[in-house]
Amino acid sequence: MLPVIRPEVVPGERIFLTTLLQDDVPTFTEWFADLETTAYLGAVGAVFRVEQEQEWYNSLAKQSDQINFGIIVRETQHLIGTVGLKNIDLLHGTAELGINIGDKTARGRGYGTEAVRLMAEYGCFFKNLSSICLWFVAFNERGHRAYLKAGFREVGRWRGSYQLGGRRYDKVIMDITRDDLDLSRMSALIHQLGEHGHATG
Amino acid sequence: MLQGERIALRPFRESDFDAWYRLMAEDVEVSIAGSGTWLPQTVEAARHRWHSILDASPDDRINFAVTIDDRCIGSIAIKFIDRRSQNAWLAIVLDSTQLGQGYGRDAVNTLLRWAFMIENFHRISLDTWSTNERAIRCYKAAGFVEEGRMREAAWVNGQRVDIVEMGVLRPEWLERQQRS
Repeated sequence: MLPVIRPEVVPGERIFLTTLLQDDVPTFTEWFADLETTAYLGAVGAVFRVEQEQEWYNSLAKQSDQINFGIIVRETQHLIGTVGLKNIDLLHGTAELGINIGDKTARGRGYGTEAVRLMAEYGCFFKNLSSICLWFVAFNERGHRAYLKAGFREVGRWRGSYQLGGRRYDKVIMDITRDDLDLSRMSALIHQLGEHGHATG
Repeated sequence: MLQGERIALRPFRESDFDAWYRLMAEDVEVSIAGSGTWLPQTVEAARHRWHSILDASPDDRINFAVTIDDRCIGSIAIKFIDRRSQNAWLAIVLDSTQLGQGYGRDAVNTLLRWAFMIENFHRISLDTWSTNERAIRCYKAAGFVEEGRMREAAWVNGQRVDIVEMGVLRPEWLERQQRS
């Protein structure tokens, strides 16, 4: 079977963000039948069946307060995970970022860092967001490093809000503001915007 | 019914709707303190929302009317209930004409006693705007500590403000009770 050529919606260097496809649902199911993955994502102890992943996929088209992309590695053209914004609030200009590198062989290679950065730039440029937050469990050091490299800052901790094996861990809160980001990659996507433009404020 | 020092927490009744409508739909100050905005809301839309809040699964949300002599002056709830991690979030709104009399602190403390002692929660969280100083003082007086600030995370009354994250843990709350 020939690899599917997927639309390059948000182009990055080593990865790009693409629209998700119905055919990706079995892949999500494989990723979410993994207790390590669901523990990092906060759905501790849960595994999701194909019907639940299908339901999530169907919700993507209906819910305007969230947007999700697939992450494709340029070199292999493989889908390695998803990244998204949820609780998009256009009054307050805020959203919460979430990412899953579902393909475990693709973890620890910097793809997540780039995907997080692209998603934050997309949110601030195309959705006019001012501030994007995220959280991770304090023992998720790899996630922590990726978020720091992507430009997020630690702004607080929900102490002891996460339990595993009878022990309590903090959830660490991070955020990034529009002023922290260089949005020139996003504005370059709109060719006629130009470098000078005619912005009125 | 949960008896506080001066207030009592009890289930909502159908007859509380008018008080709830005045509070949640007509009181601009209360609405801004809660959601950062105010939108005109028809009685029908408000009634629909009232039912969707009161009929929420107790696995997700539990509501109490805050009362003085059985008269409803506000609402306090826990939401985003996570029994596995023994966590929930607190949300309170009080009639703006009743502020400054210690009813908020009384209601929060009464709710915390229920959450920590009758229910088996270990942690209660909440968030508010950085400019909502009266509320922050009330939460601190009830035992909450500031755990973080999301920068410029809300637009409230003409300015971009931080969201203040607060939390209280059962052992901290118990220690405070023993001291006082």
